[in-house]
Amino acid sequence: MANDEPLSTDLHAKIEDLFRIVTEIGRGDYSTRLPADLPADHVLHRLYAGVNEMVESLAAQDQRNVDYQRELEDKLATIDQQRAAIRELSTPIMEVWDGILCLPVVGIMDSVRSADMTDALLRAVVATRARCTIIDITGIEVMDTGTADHFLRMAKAVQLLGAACVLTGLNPQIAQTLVHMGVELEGLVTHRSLRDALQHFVVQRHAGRQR
Amino acid sequence: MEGGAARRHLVQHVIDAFAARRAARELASEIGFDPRACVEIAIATSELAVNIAKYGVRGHVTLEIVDHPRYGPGISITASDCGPPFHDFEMAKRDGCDDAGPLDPVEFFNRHGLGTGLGAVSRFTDELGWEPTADGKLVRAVRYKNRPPRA
Repeated sequence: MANDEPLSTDLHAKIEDLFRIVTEIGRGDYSTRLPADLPADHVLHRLYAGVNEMVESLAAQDQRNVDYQRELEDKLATIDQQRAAIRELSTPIMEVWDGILCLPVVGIMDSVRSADMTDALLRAVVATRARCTIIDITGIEVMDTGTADHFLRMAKAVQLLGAACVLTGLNPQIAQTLVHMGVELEGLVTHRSLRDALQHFVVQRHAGRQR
Repeated sequence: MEGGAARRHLVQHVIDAFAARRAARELASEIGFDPRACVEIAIATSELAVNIAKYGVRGHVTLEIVDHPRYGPGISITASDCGPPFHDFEMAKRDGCDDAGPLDPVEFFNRHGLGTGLGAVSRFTDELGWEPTADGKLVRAVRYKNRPPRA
């Protein structure tokens, strides 16, 4: 019995250790391991090894979860960003009245967007057999001269397809840009607001029908 | 931020220009550019980023705050890519041209652009230059808050 005394104290301490580590696992902390220096013939040797192995795999699983989580968050952020980009880059073309197309432009105007917009507008004019198109640039604060020049060409191209094209919502800065460019402004029709242009076209259509 | 904590944006697709230009606009606004200048800087950044996606295959846009002894604070936009060098940079800066010369009107509708991108960058910035690098090229444009007189 005297020989068993120190052994049971030792066992007691080791089981205490086991409890501690299990509690830590319960809290989600996988950092501690049981000491791996037990002699191979110790009663607790296999239990210790088993517990360590379990903690190891739980920790690995936890790390994988964290990685997945991060990856998922990255992807969600990308989707958010792309959604915003799509909103800004898209060029909705609406048939606001019988034969009247409207292209409202908001955001930042660069050369790619300007080119894509022309393409979309010209196709829409043909597809809907529109007689009038209104390009509303109230939402554009700044336009480069290259882009402004392109806008004027876009208006001319629409006219070549047999529809009228007006620009509305020019702000003072863009008006100055257009004038200073020294391009041919003849044939370019502008209205102060989308409302004015729409009213003009609707009245014109009405008058045309009565004749 | 001072002394250049750079903001780097990977560009692989035209859509990536969006993130770069939004960052440029925010940065410009942060250091006190007026709203019009912020949009101009955003457009310049957008054009440079789009050029990476179109000609440079892939690359980065890096935004940095710079400080000029005479013109004060400014934003430097560096676009580095792994595409071929410019054949003729001065030509590429002209509206309706690429680095080989005037654009072919027939090709025009298929290229998703106007050939005015670098022209816009040169109008909206105060310094614009390029240099070849080990694996491609680098275009750098700087816009100052107090714009120096144009040459």
